[in-house]
Amino acid sequence: MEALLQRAIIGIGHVVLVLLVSPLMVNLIKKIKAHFQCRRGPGLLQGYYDLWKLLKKDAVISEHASWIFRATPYVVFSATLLAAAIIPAFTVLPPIGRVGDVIAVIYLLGLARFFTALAGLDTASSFGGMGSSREMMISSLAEPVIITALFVLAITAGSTNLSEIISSSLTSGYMQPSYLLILLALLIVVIAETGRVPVDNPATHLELTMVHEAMVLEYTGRDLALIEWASSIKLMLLLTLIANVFLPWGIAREITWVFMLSGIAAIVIKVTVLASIIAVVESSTAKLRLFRVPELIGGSFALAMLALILRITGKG
Amino acid sequence: MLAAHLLGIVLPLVFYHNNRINILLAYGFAALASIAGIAIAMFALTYPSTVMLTLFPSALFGDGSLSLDGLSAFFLLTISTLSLAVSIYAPPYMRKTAGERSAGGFGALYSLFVLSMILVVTVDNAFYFAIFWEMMTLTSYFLIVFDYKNIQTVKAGFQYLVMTHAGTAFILIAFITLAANSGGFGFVDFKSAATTIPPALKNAIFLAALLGFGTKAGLVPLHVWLPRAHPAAPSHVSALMSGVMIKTAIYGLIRVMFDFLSPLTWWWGAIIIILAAVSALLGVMYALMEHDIKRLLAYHSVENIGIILMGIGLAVVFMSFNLKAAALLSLTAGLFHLINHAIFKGLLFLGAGSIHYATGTKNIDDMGGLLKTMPVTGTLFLVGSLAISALPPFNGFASEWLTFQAILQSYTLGDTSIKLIALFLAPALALTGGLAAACFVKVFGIAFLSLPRSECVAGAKEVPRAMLVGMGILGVLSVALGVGATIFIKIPERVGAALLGATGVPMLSDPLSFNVAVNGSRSSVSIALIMVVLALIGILAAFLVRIRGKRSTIIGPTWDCGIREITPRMQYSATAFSRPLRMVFSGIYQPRSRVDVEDGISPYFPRTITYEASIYPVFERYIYKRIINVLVRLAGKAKMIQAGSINLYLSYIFVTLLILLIFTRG
Repeated sequence: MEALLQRAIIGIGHVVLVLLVSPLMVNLIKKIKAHFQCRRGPGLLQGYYDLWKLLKKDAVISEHASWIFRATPYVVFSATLLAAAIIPAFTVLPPIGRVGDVIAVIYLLGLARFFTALAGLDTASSFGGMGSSREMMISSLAEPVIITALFVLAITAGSTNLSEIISSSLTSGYMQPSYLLILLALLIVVIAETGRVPVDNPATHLELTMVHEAMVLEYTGRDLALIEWASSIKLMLLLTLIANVFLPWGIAREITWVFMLSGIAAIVIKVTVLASIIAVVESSTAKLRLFRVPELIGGSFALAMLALILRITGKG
Repeated sequence: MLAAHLLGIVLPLVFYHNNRINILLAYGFAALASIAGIAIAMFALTYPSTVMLTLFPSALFGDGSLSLDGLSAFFLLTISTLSLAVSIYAPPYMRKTAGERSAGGFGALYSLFVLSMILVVTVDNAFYFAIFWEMMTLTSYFLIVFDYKNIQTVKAGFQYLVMTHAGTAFILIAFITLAANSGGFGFVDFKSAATTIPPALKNAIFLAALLGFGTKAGLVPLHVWLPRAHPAAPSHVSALMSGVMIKTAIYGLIRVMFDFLSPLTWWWGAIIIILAAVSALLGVMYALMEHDIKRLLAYHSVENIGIILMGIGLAVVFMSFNLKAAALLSLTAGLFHLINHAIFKGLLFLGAGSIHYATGTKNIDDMGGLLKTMPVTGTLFLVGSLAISALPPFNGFASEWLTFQAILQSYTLGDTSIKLIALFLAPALALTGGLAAACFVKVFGIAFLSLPRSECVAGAKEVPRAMLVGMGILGVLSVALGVGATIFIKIPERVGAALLGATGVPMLSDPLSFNVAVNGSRSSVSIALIMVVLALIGILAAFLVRIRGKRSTIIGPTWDCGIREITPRMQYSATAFSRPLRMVFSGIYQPRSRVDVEDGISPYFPRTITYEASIYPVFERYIYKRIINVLVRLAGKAKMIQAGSINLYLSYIFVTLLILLIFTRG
């Protein structure tokens, strides 16, 4: 009974951590980017203010929209949060039990994306359709990269469960040739998946370059709050995944308060560092033309395949 | 028990030949027979006992009897489940499609078609298998050419007939070789002779069977008939053809490989998985470019056959390395995806039929906004779309997850090269999944959302209740087999275990979640829990939103950059939607496009612009065109001896007689 209570506390703590830290990370990236542009930028807490404000506002919904458009924010939010809840953040234990593995995470994000893309098409606006079309192109190309990269990890661990993968990278070491290759591949894909420069620009509402923003252009008020929150959770969960697989330092292996607290501190620091790297990448590269993006993703796919071959042939 | 079931199938036929007008009678009996079929299959699956029923005693070919082992029962279950839903759906649809014409013959053929599929998967004699196989092909041909006045349909039907008969020839070669080496046509004879056939001959038999069954299954590059023939038939028949008829080929392949040709050779599996990966990828890629909703779905059948064969091919590889647990996992994944595909593809084809029923069009670019006028059809179509895109918590996700696990298992194989081939399936399957999702965002988004793109679509009405019930059954099953996958999985697992001789592998045993164990560490997923937590968070989010006080929802116009009003023509079309992917994979598609601009007063204000885009049918042009050219040339040569003179023909007969006499004398 006590063990169950303990697990429940860990699970709830994990979800609350993800919910609370994720807007901060997005805002951190904005702040660093502002610094690069010689601006002061918004305060670090601006993300929370925005969400709080949006939650209070009325929603304006297009007259052409169907129930898909109304349901999408909830589906996207639930699927993304569930995916985030599956990835261990501060302990090696699966946060909410054995609900799913890394394949489930990928396909839950796929579910969220499916609905977002539908909502983009739902309002009869050509921006939405454009965004959906581009997003589905990018994501369907990114999917084999993620799966290949994760398969390299899964082969090492003999399992697709994230706890096992992280444990195995704690024991077998993370400085391996194949790991370095997939780290690079995953970083590229994470940038593509979260809609960041050089693939997409989250800061623009310039009509012809939008991808993700074009899909959610018609959302307002509380619906927009959920969508924005979900996309910051998505960023957080992908960074957590990378952080814990490739840099598993500090993650709690035992359930004691000291380990837990240091685990929380460790994950926040690691994600902060990764978010800063993304901010630097965003500030120092130019956005690619849409049809150059497949080449970038193709490159990361080559890296992932190389890692897979290295792993299979036992050379790394 | 089986006799009752057979009676249920045969009765409507007998009855029906006398009453050629009543549609209800044909489909009513078909539905009853299907219920009986499900009951019998479930009975045979829960109490594993071989039920036998001798139909045609024959001294020459052995008795033609029906037997229901696990594999047959599983396929019987699949066929009956889908035919039940389709039979409920069919009457109103058929009434409209037939119009003035008599639907009687069609109904009888329909029953005969279902019956022949059932006989194909249950008969245990190669001779009768071939007869029923032929019966299935012919009945389906007649079902396809129902709309015989349309030249496209007739062409598609002819192509289907030619290709499947070429396939049947290969199947016959395989069976006759087997029979010659085992001294009988019975499957029992084949099985007992499995160890005595020399390996080289086994390879030949395997290749013949792969070619033969591969044609029927629609394996690339033998798939060209499928996207033409399936959509040409009335939708409920398309559902059956795509849902289960092509699966009978999978049945044949499994039967031949695991029953008659074991022990298996690893490169058979390698060939199968390579073809499977190619089929899956090309199937979904061509589907993306297709805007005829039924042809699009037909291409997705090619894709899903690929996914099913990934599991089955992996099972062959694992068996050849004697890794029984992994083989069982792969085979289970393949079989599970097989029934899942039957369900969601059936649902999608019936949905496409409903759209056609309500609007009269099959072109996605003419549709739009159908979710508002046909809410139930739309929601059910969404379920099917999510399932085929392998998204949780639907059944497609369950079986693709298992397939991923089967692929993962291949790293335990001893041989590096086969390990590489098998693990390359992972990105192939992932890309397939991603593209399938893109494709169904296109189908659902363009057809059911936003504004209607043509007059007939704007005036669409929801279809009759019977059709909704037929689709509803499949929609509920899609969810049930996803959420309850861990319970249902026992059935294909047991079937696979009996087939492979692997007993009691505690692999998927948890009632709540899938647990696949390799070398001590396990992978697990629980779709039921995913469903529950998703719902929970959804409710929580709704609650969270309410915390900040009550607010209203305002209905307003879509942002249009300040022009007067958004018109349907401004929306993204299906062609536009798939354009980025057409550019990315232009090497495969070899797209052709033509823009015609008709100038008005000035070139800046053109009067009309027509845009035509098409993709180059690579397989038809590069492979089939050449074969056809060779055939035509050969036929030209053959014309020399067909001069039309009776004296010449008489002399042919005489010479043949002479040669035969010499032969028989010696």
